[in-house]
Amino acid sequence: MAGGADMRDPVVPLWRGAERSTGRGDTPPTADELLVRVAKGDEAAFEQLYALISGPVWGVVLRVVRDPAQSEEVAQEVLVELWRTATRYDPSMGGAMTWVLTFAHRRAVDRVRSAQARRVREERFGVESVEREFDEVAEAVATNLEREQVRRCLGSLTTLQRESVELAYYGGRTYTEVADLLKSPLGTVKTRLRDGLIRLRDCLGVGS
Amino acid sequence: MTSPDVHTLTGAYALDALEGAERSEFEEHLTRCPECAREVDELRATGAKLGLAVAASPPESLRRKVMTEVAATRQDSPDERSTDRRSGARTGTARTGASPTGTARTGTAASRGRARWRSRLSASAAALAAAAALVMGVVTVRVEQERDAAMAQLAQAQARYAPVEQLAAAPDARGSSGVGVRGGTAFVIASHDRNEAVLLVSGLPVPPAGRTYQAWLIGDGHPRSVGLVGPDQAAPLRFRGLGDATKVGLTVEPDGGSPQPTTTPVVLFDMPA
Repeated sequence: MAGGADMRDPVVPLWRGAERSTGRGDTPPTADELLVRVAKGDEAAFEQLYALISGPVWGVVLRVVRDPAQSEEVAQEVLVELWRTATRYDPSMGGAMTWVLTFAHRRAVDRVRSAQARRVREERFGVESVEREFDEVAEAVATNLEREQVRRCLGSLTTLQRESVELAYYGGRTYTEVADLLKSPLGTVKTRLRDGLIRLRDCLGVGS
Repeated sequence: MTSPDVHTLTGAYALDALEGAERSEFEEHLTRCPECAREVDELRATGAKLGLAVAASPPESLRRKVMTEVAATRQDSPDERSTDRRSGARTGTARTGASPTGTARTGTAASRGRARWRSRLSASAAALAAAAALVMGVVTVRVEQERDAAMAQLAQAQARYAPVEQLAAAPDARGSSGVGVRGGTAFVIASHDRNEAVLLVSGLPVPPAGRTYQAWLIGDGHPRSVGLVGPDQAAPLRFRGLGDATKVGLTVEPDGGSPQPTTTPVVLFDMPA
């Protein structure tokens, strides 16, 4: 036993024809089924759901809030609220992942927009810091494939579209703030946010 | 707000970049404009993709805090609250951003919701998870102590986890684990003396319709199937005959399984030493 297993044979017998793209198992994981079980009070399902969604939730909240301690508070609030209100999840409202990430983003934004949190945050990080550190993400849970796709699609936007979308989503900025930061007229930013998102939507194949 | 202008706010709204009066007015508008609501839904789903792309590992303390609070938190009543009941096809749209399904109404919920606690079951699951974590630690840390702790936890698990318990009791029991490329965990506890192992998985993505996970032992020859597993296996998969296997892998296969793997493993890790 000792000998066999300690041989870290680098030649893993990866079988023939094993192309990533061929497997339908590549379909992104959906949390929908788990959420339906969670709605029935299934705590074990919630633990599994947690494993699926806590990474994305944490990533979004941390990106917007930036302060790890505050981010943890917000993420906790979001995840517990998910448990509490899962009973009212309606699959027709869209996928569970979208649902929870929409909520997580909203809560993160609420946090940074409360006056005090804002002051602390700006003292620490500087109000002018433009969040464009797309590569900064430390430990990825999302698959490279997905990340690559988003990066590629963001790259297909015009500079103003991309900066507007990134400042709004990752920076948690209001569109007025975005306009200030980018020194662009309000109307232009408003339009760019929509145009940019629509282009992203089409590029990412997000359909209804 | 003038009507031609209002539609362009879908983007800002979907990204939570709209505040104050403008936001409330737009939400009001959404209840009368199904087209806008649909667009908001799509753009929000697009925003969620931006979020997925920055997923990161949360601190372990978050998990503990959430699980502790969840264990003490009653779920809301599934009844729609009257404030959510609006006219229009997508009444929920304007609210989905504010909360998963609206704001708290614990009082009402408590009086009307059906109790569906399954604390017994999930306590067992938690004990098992804890045991699994401990057993995994065996590989690198103090073997005997860890195994004892794992067994203490396992004693609480339900009868269906008996194979795990029995195997973990083997003097040479070892554990190893792997993380799925799309999330989830698989782990194996193996006893070479007994020539036997158990596989447990948790939190793997649900496979597409008509597909299932299949577990393989990989050695010098062809991968050998040890059975099919669900994304969240209710009971451990027990198998005998470890052979010369050095790796364990899970692939997605058509229902019923395949004689040999047809896709790249979604989880692949070393057999316990």
